[in-house]
Amino acid sequence: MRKFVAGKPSNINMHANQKLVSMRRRGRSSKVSGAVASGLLAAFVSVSAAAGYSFDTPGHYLAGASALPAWAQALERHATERAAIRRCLDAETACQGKLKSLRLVLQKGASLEPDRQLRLVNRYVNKRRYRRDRRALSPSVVLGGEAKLRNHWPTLLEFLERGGDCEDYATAKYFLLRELGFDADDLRVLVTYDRWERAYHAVLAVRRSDGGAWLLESDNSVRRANHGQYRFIYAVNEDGIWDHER
Amino acid sequence: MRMPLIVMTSLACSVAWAETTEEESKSIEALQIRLATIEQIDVTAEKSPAKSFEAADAEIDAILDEADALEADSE
Repeated sequence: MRKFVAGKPSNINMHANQKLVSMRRRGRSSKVSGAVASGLLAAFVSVSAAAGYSFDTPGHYLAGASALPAWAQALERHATERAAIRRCLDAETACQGKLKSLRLVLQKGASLEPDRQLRLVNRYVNKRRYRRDRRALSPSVVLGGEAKLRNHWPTLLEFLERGGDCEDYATAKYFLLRELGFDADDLRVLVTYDRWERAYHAVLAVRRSDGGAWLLESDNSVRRANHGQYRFIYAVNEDGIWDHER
Repeated sequence: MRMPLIVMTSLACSVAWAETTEEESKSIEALQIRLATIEQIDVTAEKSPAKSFEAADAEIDAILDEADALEADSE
């Protein structure tokens, strides 16, 4: 597991703490109302904490990665693609197209500390063109055959060449950080419902050495996954699928 | 005396086995339904990169500028 620099406490928890302090200063009026307010605040803080993403919540593991055929197929295509990435890393003359910039990022990024590697990868991937997936026939869970699905999981090179939408950004970050030596155990493509945007959104979740999760966002922010903006739906990596609505 | 005991034990075992199989098939069905729901979720939110979220880091800026230059050359 990699070590990351600790971030600032969340705004929600800071706000709750400030509230607690000001309540303590003012809290001489009535013991009863103070107790009620403290109870409400405790409930509020515990709800805030519960909104955080955790890699270790028991009971969320759903199935192996192969249970989502479209995702499993993207992993297989990426495994094939890795041979080209390896050749390019070994010799510059073997690099074509976006592989040239990928080589540079992987080579120069290798000497950075893990938290700066996250920022580099996040910004490198976020530069790509946003393009919505079209509904297309993909391998599906339904009857073990094919179905028209909106989400297409790309490989790293497919994404760098063509761009994509948010789950494609998160997937590309996943593959890039794997190339930089991050453990699969510490990375998940996390699908959420964004309460502010009122849309489904995918981000890459990264586990820190203290077990806390950070999110690599498409807006270039890298932040703790403990704000109330998201409802976590499910997550995938090369080892499995986690259902966060269980 | 032994025969009824054996028959009773066999019956109990087969009932338990049938219940387990039924439970397993129900959980497999539930898993398939959940996976089918998951794969239909249309993940689309668009968030544009914002300069304000970038921590100042000259080394990262330099790597990204060099990467941009390489991509511009190969286009």
